[in-house]
Amino acid sequence: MKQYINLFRKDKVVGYSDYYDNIAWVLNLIGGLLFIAFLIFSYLQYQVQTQYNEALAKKTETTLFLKNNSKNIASINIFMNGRNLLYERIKNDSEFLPYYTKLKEIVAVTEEIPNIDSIVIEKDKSTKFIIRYKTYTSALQFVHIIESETFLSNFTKLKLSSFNLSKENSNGGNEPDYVFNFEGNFKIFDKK
Amino acid sequence: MYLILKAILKYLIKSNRMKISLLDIFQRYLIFLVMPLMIFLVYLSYTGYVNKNSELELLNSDLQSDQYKIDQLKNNQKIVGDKVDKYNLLLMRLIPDREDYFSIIRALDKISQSSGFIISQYSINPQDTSTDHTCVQVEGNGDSDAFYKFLEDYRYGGDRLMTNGAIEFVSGKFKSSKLDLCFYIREKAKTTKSTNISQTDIELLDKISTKLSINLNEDNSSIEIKPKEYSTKENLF
Repeated sequence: MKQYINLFRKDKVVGYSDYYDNIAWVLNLIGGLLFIAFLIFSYLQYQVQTQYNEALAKKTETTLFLKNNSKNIASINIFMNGRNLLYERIKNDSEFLPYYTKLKEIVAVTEEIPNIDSIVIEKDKSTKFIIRYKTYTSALQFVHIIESETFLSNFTKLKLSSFNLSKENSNGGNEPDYVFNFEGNFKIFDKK
Repeated sequence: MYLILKAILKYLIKSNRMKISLLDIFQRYLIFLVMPLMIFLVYLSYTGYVNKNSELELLNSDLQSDQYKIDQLKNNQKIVGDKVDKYNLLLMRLIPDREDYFSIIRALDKISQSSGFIISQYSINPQDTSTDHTCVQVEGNGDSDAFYKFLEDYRYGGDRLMTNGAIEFVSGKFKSSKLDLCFYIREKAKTTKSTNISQTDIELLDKISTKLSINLNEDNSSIEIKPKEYSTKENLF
């Protein structure tokens, strides 16, 4: 039997060496990638360090400025505390006169200027007031006015709690006085 | 790692499974040795970057806070000008640090004199009084003009802040009118949220200063609170 040697045939013998070659190739790749990652992180760290140094210099500057102006800062803080406290405490005031004056203005639109018999204004601007008319015509005119938008815009809430004909008339005549009792809340307005 | 690698290589050579020299193996498989070093370097550079970045963020936030304070200070100084100490003095007069009953009496006296609404009686109202405010019930007489003037000026007219929780006004009845007035002091521990100073604040304080015996246009030295002068006797007997 004739024997040939096939020169093209190559039996591949996979040894440990090949496995290690493959692993080494992969590891080389990973190593390369790691090296690139190292370079990137080093560069980023350098960048951040530069920014940090700049910020630190600025911080030193601002700290020095604040230290040099500590007296002014303290004065401003005292001012702001005092001012806030003032605003807070003012809220406890009923601010009677501006609201009383306002009420006098808004009811003085009839022919007869009515009399405000009594008025209570609380710090939350809730109010009770009594208005007295001597003539029927003006009282009727007033009834129309109190339902108008202009009149009601001065209050957040208002109700006519009672309406009386008072025999204790102020003009001494036979005609009774027309007395309106109101309850409600004033709308807060700018007192400038 | 290195020792493990060395042991493996020795075993392979001994068992004739690899017919290559140790030097070749070392050259070919150098990456096995370099790899841990690379990982370590990447770890170092990464943690260094992350740490520095967080430090930078912290510093930047500090810087922002400082910058805000500086801007606020500059803005406030621009509005208040050089009068901040005078305004503080004014605010201190209105709401002092501690209660001084003489200043309450002086305030009532001052407002009474300036308005013409004669205060005939006053008594401390213990029910409404607390650590930060003192409420006084005041009884006074006067005509309508005096009463209106009193109502117009009572809040700042006595050099102390006075508030009135509720006023009942009965037309034509000005005799023996009763009012509850409250005086305030500052609570030391209490600090309020600070907001920027506005032009409205300055306008209000300028307006108040016209009602008080403090002139904000004077020098600092001349607006110091001077003790009231009392008549004294040289010879006590």
